[in-house]
Amino acid sequence: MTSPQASVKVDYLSLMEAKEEDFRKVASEVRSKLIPKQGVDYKVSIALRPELKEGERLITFTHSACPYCRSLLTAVLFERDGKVWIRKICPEHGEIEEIYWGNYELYAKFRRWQEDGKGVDNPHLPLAAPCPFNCGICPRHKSHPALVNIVLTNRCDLSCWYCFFYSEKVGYVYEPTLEHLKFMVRALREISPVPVKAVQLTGGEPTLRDDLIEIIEMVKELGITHVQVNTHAIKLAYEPELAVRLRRAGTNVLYVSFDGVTPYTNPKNHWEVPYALENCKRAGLGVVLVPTIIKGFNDHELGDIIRFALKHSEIVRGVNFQPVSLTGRIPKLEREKYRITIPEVIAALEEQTGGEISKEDWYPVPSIAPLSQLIEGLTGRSQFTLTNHFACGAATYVFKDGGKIIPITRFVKVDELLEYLREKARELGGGGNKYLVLLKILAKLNSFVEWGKAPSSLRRRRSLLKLLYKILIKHDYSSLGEFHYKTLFLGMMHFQDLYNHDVARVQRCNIFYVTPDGRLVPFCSFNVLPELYRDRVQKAFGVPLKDWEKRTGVRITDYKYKRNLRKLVEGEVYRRYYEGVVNINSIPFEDHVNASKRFGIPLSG
Amino acid sequence: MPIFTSFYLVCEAEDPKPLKLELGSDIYHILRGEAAKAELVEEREFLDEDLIKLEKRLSLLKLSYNDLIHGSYYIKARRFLIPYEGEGVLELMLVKWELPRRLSEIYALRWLDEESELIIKVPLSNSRRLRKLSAFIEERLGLKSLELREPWSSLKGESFKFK
Repeated sequence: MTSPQASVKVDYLSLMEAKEEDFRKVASEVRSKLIPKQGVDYKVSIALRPELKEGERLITFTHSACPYCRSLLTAVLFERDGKVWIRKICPEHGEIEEIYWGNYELYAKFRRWQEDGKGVDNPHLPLAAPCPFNCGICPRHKSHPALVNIVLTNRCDLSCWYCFFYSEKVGYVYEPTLEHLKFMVRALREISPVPVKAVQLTGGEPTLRDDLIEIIEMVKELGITHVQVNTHAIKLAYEPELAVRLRRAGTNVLYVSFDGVTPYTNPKNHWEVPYALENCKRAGLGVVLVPTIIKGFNDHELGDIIRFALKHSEIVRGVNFQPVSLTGRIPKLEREKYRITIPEVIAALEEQTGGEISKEDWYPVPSIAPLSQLIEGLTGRSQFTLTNHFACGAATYVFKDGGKIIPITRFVKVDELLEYLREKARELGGGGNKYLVLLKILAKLNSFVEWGKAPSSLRRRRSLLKLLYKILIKHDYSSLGEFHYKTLFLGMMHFQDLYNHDVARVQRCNIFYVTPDGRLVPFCSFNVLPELYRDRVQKAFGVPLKDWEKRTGVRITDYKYKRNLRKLVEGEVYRRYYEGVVNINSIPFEDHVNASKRFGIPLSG
Repeated sequence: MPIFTSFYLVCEAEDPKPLKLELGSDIYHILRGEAAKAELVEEREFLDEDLIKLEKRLSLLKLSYNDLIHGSYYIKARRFLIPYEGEGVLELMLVKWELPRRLSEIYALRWLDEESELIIKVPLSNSRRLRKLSAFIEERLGLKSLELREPWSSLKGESFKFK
């Protein structure tokens, strides 16, 4: 059961000119063959409950897959030495223990904000297998999709040493046609009661697609209001016009990988990011920096990443830290070396910002749900609500005020405000008069803000209150975008792996992938069980490399990126962007060369 | 004669969020559009192979077996005798769910057999009277003469009353 094979293969070359309706037919024909099968793809061994050991305190039980054979197991979550751990016992592979969250106190604090959603009314699959082997969306899923990833290609112009799924590695090109993508986007818009409005176009490297602009326009035409493009941004460093075209087509923001401020920590795109940001600034295209955090590798540069982001806050809208997911077979000692969890990232940020951003400033993602519930009560319509598991992510907003960083929690009584909104949402749910409730809220709002402590940019116009008024009274979210221009969003999302896998988190996931057969699969099933989801569907709808090269006349290696390091390092833009954050002159040129080469990016020039 | 399996469960959990739930079902067999209460013949331990059957019911509440194991829970599989081959089975699933915004709910599920998908669900969270339930079932499922003199007997916990 270690290497399940998809029995289905679509002749994708024959579908190159096919219409959306044809893809709907193909999808309905192959879907049942793509769904994981018990006994072939997974086993269920949930009867065995792991025991607690001395010095351990029970938190709860859950289900989790075995990292080696994908058997569904019962796992225990417990507290030991102030941290949260997960342990499971596979009948075949024995005991597997992993750190789950690096701080129990914060775990308990975050837990009280958990809100569950109402899922979807029209699931794509009947309930026929245990979670997480029935993804698609299934009837038991608790959250509606908030953001859906659409893989535009598995081609990439880099060959990062840790990546296992770009086209040359897997032997096929997965690249849905525009008509096929239309079918997939339409499936997102049909979701009820909250149709998908936000997508991330991802890859591979999505900017390799010649028809990227057309795709964005199509996605917008079909009713998606938020489009983000997930890119390494290297192409944007060289093609200013691309940033302009992306913006004009309707891209809202770019999600750009950015693992640190030095060549040592960010050999992927350290040199190109400044040029890309400069081009985005000229085009008015916002950027969110996305650092993947690995203990002992780049966790000492978290404060610098924020300083870099704040220095360029006119174009950097946020930083979304992602503690690493450890994929593949990794021995325990190796895992302990690299593993970092959300509370440890929060603690490192507190230390590296001199306490300017402390652990009290962070809130779990579902803490904002009461605002959505309140609007739902006021309008009578289902609202976009973030109800993922509290352990999945954290967020805060910070403001730049002179040379200081001011988190929103320093001048807004966030706990009290959210509790108040939650109480009012319940009042409405219990049949309260919506006008009366609204009046009470409006009269009370000002008491949650300490204006004397607010950054001067907000103090002047009371813009925060105006924003809340607009949302509550007019249900107008356009002002949220304006708010993001004034602040820096800081987020964290810890995607799972098979060592810390928790089905309770999967069932609440609100970040999805749409598959080529039109299913919606939670992020942490798609990537955590790739043989059953990601690789299976992409292989089924992929074109063998040789056939793709023959059809396009392009060799798959022809477009691989070669870095002209000297030109990049000597550029004025490069130096200006890092100035004040890192001393570029202290880094020998040889170190730049070695960092790039070690990562696997060859040099030119 | 065929046997139909349903469940009785009580659960109380704190993680990841508080959940207090009691769920049980009354089973009716259907013949020529009329429903008659089925006899409970066995109550046994919950087995792994019951998982999907249970989750088909829990998923109506956006719950799963995973939610149960998060807390302390008691669960039994209940087996009912279906004396003749008719037009399927009606299951009145009664749920007492203590959440700030949800109190109690009833679902009327019509099954063709034990494995088939449910055909219809009638959440009656806003409908508090038995006659409304009867009318709902008659209207939505086309069933007549439903005996509801002794409903909610499947719940063992604190009295489950509709006023």
